[in-house]
Amino acid sequence: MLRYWLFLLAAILSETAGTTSLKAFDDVHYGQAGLLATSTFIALSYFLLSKAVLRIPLGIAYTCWEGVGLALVAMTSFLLFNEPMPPLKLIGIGCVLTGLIWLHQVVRHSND
Amino acid sequence: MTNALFWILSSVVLDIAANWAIKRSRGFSLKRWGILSIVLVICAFLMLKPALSYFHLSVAYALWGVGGIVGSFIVDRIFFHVHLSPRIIPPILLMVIGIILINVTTPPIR
Repeated sequence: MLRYWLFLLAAILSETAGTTSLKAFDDVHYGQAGLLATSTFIALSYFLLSKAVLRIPLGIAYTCWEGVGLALVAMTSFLLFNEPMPPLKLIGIGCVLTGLIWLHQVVRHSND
Repeated sequence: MTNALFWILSSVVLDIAANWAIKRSRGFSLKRWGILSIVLVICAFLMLKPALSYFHLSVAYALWGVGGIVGSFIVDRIFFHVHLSPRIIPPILLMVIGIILINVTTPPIR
């Protein structure tokens, strides 16, 4: 089962790279380079997601993909693009990560 | 506003269709379904753009994300007959609250 969560993690990292490159290459060729990089990373991400949903229920996998991806993008935006990190945003990231660990526990115990 | 909502709704529908197709691809061993899914998700991203003339990116993205999450659970139940324990609801709600908080506190790109 761990294998499928690792596929999901890889899918999320690829999505984060895709969304981050959209911002990083915003000014290169009127953002077209960014769009190309984003599309490539999103395609890779969905390929990895297809492996994850072999065992992880679709809704659960997608919630993690969406939520954890967003939390990671918030962190890369803070670190790379000096976006502000107000306390409410930190709480949001905390909610997503706590929810992820909680969800993983629930799924693990209901499968065994 | 109706137009912008229409774009968001279309984008959500494409996103849910992409998730349906990715599961049908059985881990990409059925390549047609896998490729269809990737095309659908990229179209979903592109359709979100026209909605930004009315909605802030944060609001559009939050609506899109939460719509996709709810839709994926419904698709899993109806098309793949996956029945989940109600115990997953609290952590999912916590993550949805987190998604909304991150989105509404993110400033526009420019």
